[in-house]
Amino acid sequence: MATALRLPATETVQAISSEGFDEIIRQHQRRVYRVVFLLVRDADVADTLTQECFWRAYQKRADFRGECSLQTWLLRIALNLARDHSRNRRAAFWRKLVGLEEAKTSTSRAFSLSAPQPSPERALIAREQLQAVWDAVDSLSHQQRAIFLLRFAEEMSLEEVAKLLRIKVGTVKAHLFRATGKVREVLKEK
Amino acid sequence: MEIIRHLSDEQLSDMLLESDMQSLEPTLRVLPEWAQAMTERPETFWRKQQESIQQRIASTEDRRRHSAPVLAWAMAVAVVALAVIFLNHGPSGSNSLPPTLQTQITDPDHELLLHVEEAVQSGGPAALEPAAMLAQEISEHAVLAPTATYPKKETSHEN
Repeated sequence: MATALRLPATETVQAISSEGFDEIIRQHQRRVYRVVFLLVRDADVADTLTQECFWRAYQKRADFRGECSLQTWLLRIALNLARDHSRNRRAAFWRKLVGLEEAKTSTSRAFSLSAPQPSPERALIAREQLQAVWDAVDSLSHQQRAIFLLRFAEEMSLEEVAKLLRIKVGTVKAHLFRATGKVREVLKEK
Repeated sequence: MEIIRHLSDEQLSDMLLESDMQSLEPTLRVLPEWAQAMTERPETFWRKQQESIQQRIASTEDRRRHSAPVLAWAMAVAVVALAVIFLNHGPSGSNSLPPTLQTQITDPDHELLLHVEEAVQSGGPAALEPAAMLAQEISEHAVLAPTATYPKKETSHEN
């Protein structure tokens, strides 16, 4: 299950020393890594972006005013990093397409699922379904994908997602509705 | 249909979202566990990640600590340079204004009178004699009452 570690609302990062920041890393690194991984689908990139996220958080700790939880703040940085990464990747794709960049041997798309397996048959069905969902999620826009994964993989409430992305709950619902619709369509086609 | 007609847009979209989620429920239910399983890493991985972040933070701090004295010295040099420039060229460094500026400040009427007087003294034309007398009179008046102002206007409402 998703880890929901939270520091007291009054605690700010600014007041925490570098030793205190170590504790923050320990508490939140798993969730930050998981969210980034779900969005970028690449273990190495997820690791790099997680490190970048905490480094940026340390650099910008003076900006944290405690208006939201520390976890929300960290995840917001992580989501922005993942979004920037996706944009760069898209740009790289187009550069590659027009011959400006050499094709790389492996892409993050090459990704196989390895879900826990209760029994061979059920595991196969579950894996196929998950793979289908995973592929369907891939067709979503970054915002829809983020909302879909935060809601269903991270089990965040609509309010939490809205707060994290700094959008209205109604907007979250609209994106989620479109996202689930697309996923359902893709699953039906399969 | 009748029920749907009475629902607001928000209620309707909530309902549709709920039905979508229900249809996907069996798959979506396993997503959190699956995501958890997908990102499970050995403890060494997390420790290594922590160390990498700590190292990066430490190196940034080190760079900042090293660059701080350099920055302070640069600031001090800049301040001294500015002070020198200010002392040499600033208002306290020169007590008198540049000559060009000074001439601009002088009264043009007074200047004209001086020219007229000069012309008269140098044996100017007779036609300028009345002007010379006027200039003399004005300059005498100015000497007697340097702070003289214009004659006070008579106010018709004064009693």
